[in-house]
Amino acid sequence: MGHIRLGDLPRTRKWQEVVALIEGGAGTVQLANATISAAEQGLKLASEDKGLVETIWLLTQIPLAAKSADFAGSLRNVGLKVSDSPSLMEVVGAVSDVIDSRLANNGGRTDLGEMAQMAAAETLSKEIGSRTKGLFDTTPADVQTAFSRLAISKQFSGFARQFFARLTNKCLNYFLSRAMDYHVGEGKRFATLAQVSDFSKALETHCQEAAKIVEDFSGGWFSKTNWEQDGIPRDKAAGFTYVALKKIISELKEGARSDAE
Amino acid sequence: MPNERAVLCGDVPGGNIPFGGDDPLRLRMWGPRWNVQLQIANIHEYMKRPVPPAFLDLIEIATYVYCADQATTRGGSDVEKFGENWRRRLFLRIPVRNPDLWRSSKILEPLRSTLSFLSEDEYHFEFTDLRNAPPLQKYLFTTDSSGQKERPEEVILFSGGLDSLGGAIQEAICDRRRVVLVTHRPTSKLTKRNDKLKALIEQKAAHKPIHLPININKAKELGREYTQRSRSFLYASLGATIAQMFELSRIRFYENGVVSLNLPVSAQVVGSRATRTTHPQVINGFAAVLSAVADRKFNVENPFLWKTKTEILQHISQGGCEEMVKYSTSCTHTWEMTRLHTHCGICSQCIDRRFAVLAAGLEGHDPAEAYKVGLLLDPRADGEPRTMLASYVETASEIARMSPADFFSRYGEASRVLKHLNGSADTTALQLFELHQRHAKQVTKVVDDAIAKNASAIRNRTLPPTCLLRLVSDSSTAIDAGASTAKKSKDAINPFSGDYVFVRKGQPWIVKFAGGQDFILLPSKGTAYLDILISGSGTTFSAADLAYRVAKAPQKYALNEAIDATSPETLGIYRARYRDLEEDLEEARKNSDLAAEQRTQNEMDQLKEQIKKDTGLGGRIRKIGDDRERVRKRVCIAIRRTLDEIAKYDKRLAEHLNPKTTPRSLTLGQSISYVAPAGVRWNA
Repeated sequence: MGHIRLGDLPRTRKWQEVVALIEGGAGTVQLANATISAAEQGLKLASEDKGLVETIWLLTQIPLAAKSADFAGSLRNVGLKVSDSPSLMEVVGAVSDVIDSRLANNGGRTDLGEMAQMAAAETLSKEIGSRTKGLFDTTPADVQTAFSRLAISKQFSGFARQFFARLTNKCLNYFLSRAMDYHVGEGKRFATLAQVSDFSKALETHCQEAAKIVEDFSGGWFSKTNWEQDGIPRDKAAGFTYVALKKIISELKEGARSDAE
Repeated sequence: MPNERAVLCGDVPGGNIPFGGDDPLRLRMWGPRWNVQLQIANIHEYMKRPVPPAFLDLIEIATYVYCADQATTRGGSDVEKFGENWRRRLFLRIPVRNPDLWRSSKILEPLRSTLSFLSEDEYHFEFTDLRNAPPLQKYLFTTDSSGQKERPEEVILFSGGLDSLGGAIQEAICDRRRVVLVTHRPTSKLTKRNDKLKALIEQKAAHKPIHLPININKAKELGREYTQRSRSFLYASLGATIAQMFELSRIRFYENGVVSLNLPVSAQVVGSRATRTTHPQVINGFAAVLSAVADRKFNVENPFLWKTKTEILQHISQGGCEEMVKYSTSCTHTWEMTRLHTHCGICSQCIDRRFAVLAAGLEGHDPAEAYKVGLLLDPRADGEPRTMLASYVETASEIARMSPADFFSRYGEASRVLKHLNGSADTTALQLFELHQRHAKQVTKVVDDAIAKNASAIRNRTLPPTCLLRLVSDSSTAIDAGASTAKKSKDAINPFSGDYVFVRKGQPWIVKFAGGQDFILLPSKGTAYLDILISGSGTTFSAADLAYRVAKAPQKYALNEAIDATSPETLGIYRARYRDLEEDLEEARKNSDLAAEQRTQNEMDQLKEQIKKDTGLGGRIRKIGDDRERVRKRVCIAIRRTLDEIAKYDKRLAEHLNPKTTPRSLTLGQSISYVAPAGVRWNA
């Protein structure tokens, strides 16, 4: 029991180019560019990914629920099974659970959706945890206040950026981790595990930079859509997902070029 | 197209298959054409009551699911499609004794949701009437097993690994309880080792445990997928059936919490690529299914959920059972198992086991020779052997340094557990964090102790370069005064320094322009041409010269002379005829002779095309078979491809090298040159 399955990158030309770039010592910016270019076809279908869209839709619903007087009731209305005074970890667990239940029997689940689900849980823990000064023993009022602040345009922008930065980093590592460890050891690209770790941190920073483009428009989109539609329907969340990912992909390609300017 | 498969079980008919029906898999557990055989040790003598039909259905369904899982591959690398082939769509048509029960939502819903979470597949069941149902006796075989005659108190799923051994010791030896140990034998290679464990447990147990081995024999062609994610469902179903026969309403898995929760050790480990065999969500799902089958509350437990493997080993040691450790088997690469090497040392379970053994100080009871590849000092091959270990150790090192906030903002997978355990989400989260921190510290301590113990070898760099201790230490090549000095002086003149760099480093080139971000250009002829041009800035090269310098076999390089595409006389005839036709066309138009007009126009078009083919710039006769022209084209195309590549990573350099921009630095054609503008000094 406890088996873990690992894999390799495909042997197609574009992916072998990514492998050659790792081996040749390419930096994070160039590798991110080459990887996202190789993965672009798959990512183009992202707005149709049920798991990804459901995750992003839920992330828009929680701040709106927190603005209501009955926070717990509003959360339940969007499917989260929470107590009357939910703690942060309870909300985080409920978000994961409701996405699992919406993809019952795995219909429509993909690795991308799965990564989005994980990125959502992580972003909620990080962003709300930092606002409530910790994860545990937070008061329900603190949790509600922290979530409700995300409904402010600027705050939602920052939150969306963090989510997409994590998702992008996960996506890039999803591919790169299949090849990187082949290049660890003396005389190889990464002489030690510490160098691998440094590379991972640099990639994370690069994803944060790339996701800035999402910050620039997401707050406005959130407020405008909520105002016009009196809430945020799933199809609007799907549209937002499509645009956000398209912009990040283009940013990773363009950003790499402008870095040299 | 999704990875779909229809599975027809027993003698069910094959019509109206909703999907995957092109090549349906036939599974038969009985009859002359059987390809799957379930064998349970004969336990009639202990049985308190007969097995209800629903439980017989359960073990048959679980066997079919397990065999369908193994017979259907998860495809090759589908990384670009985000795991489309990993997740399969399975349609199973299964004959059962009570179809209405299995079609009811109280069973079907938990069955589908639990299995789909466990194996990440999509399950569609169709239950039909089973005629000529075999009795339980069909599956029973006689064994020499003999245990206590009193009613057992607990059914334990005993794999023969360290964790379940810890559970058996806890129950049968420490707590002096009467237990049934249900063992599924995936391979006969484990039989002797399991028998030895059985004997050792019996010696120390207050009540001799009942051992129930279970075998599944299946046709060779059914073993195509080794991941076997649904195995624990089969295991739980068999255990629950045994428990039912003993009038018990509980089964116990014994698995350490770190493996139960199985957080991803690498970014590529998404979803059930890390098994969810005893994940709390699965355990609860099993309980829901079994309760529905038993029509009463049925519990499934994992008492070791909050223990690390090291703590389980410490517990085994405190119970005075250390000598049993070496007979337990954790390795999943059983096909590699030999009498000498009982563990591969490469798979995640071997790594986990060895770290725990070392952390618990029980290396004396788990011989290092049993591992084909040693954990700390042995070289590790490229690929999974090194990846798995590197990821495991890096994960532990990271977690050991984390705060709870860091942990939950790094491992989103942990959030999946929060709603599936008793207690508040906060308490569960804290327990979860503490469990992983203890485990991480146990792992890192093993590494730290090994570094201290091998300090001299690390300093002298005499350990294999790919062993764990070298990978976690900052090391380079073995110490050699001469080489070291030479390297130092070479480093002093950094070949990659400067604002303008075009230098080959190994196979690829490092390129930097105007102090921007450096990037890699992979080996290609175009890059090699550019290298020559930039190094020889201001020099004009012929395309043939560049091609000659870069060609792999320049000595074979000979250019043929070209010949004219046509003769001047022929060309003159074409042109004269064209002029005649122009007059004919005018005449035909005047006479409104549409047929003549069309005919003349067609001939003119053909002539025009031929003249265009035979002439080049300024109407001169074109050369054909000109190797120089072919080489020019080839060299220029190669350079342009490299310029396209450069444009992906550095727009300004691409612009600088664009032959169409002014002032022009790169000129393409028969004569090719690069002239660096004032102020640009290439390190090339």
